[in-house]
Amino acid sequence: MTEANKVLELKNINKSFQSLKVLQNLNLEIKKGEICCLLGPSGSGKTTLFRIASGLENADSGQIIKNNKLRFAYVFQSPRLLPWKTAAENLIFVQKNYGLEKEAELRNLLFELSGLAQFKDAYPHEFSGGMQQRLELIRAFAVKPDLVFLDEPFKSLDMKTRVNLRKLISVIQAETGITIFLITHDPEEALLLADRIYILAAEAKGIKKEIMVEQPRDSREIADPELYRELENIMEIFTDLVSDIEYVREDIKKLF
Amino acid sequence: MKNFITKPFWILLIIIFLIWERGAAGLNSLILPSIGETYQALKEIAVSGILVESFLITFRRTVIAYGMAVIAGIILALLLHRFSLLQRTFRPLITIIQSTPPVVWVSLAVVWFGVADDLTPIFLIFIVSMPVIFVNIYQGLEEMNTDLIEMARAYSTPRFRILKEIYLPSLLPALVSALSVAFAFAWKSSVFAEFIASSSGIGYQLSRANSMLATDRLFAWTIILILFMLFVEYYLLEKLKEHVSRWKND
Repeated sequence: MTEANKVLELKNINKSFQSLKVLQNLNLEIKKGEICCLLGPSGSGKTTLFRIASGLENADSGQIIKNNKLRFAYVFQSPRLLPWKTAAENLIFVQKNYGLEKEAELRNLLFELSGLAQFKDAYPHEFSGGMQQRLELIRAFAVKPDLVFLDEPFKSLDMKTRVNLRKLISVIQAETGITIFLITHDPEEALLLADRIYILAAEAKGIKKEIMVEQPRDSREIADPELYRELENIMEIFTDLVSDIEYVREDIKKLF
Repeated sequence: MKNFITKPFWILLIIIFLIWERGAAGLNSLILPSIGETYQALKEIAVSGILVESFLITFRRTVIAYGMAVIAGIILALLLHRFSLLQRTFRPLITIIQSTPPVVWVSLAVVWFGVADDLTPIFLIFIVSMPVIFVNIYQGLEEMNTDLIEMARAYSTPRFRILKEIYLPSLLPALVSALSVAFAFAWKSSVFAEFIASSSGIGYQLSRANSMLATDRLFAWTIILILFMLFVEYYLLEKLKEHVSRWKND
């Protein structure tokens, strides 16, 4: 990867909360125009890494190399919408910071794409959870970002909304070339969306494996033998992480 | 006023009036004047001009002191929220001020300012309502959704816009609630201070009626006080509450 192609690079990142080490010597890089997925089980430090990479939190040590001229946008795990502003005003709120508040056509397109066109003037409390998450998502794209950080944006959504949002991200990314850094705990989601997958392993506190998915995104299906093999590999890594459960099987039997 | 004037309330009001009229019929008007006598007294003080004059005096004192209390309460809350040293130093002091009975403050004010026309009521209103504003705003700041502020910072929002578009709307419900509670305190304190240590205003008129055993006037002034309080609480503040919580899911 050439230097010019890199949007973000993390070198030897360490982070602890009191005595708990969350990240240890973590290295990662994101290339311009790709969808990069950070995959890991709960508690593996995904959100901490997201916060450090996006600049919301400082690392204890290590280096974060990013081009400050690039525009970043954020999609948080649970929607962070201003409840006293309408859907459109929520978009305008962030657009104003970049002089984009007059881009009504862009807003209209994003509302159209996300199925929220009729709800532009509604307040967030009038939205369902899925609609709020969609609004959170299009707000990120409303600032014409170079890199979007998405922290498990589909976590608490139903299957249909997940599939739709995944498609939405995929289409916008394909047409605009915006770089996307997505955090998820769902291996299928990672395989269907990402060009590059980093697997964060709990016990290693760092990147355990890097996977490149070469197939064109549009034609990917999880039943595809190649993808399925990757899925199995990932599941194996995940299973390793919980193998300790076997040791307590006898105790469970005895105590219950 | 629509939340206040409900059918059950009208019925209750009629029952109270009936009991009042019935009770007054069997009692000396020095103890309980009739509705008619009270109305007559009300008319007298209105025609003589004392009503408007006294009302305006009490209103002016309340507005000045209440305004000062609101500004001071907000500034103090912002400062104590921002600087923990100030919070640790002054927070207990505000609790002490808040828990001191108003009668102590009036007594001290009389000692310090004498039976002054304006100073004693203004001092009492300020000292009683400022902590109410402070406590509400401070709590609002403590309960502020920091996630929204972090989101705004993540999108490079300038500090001024964060203050104007996140802090202020977040605090508005707490502010309106503070304004409402503090106004009731201010209005009552104003009348109380005038009653004890002033020679003008509604409180002073109440004190005069009391010492002259003019119970009908006492009732007439009380009705004025209640009506004004109801107008502020259920009309002005209610409108403000509706406006600031229009985005809320009730």
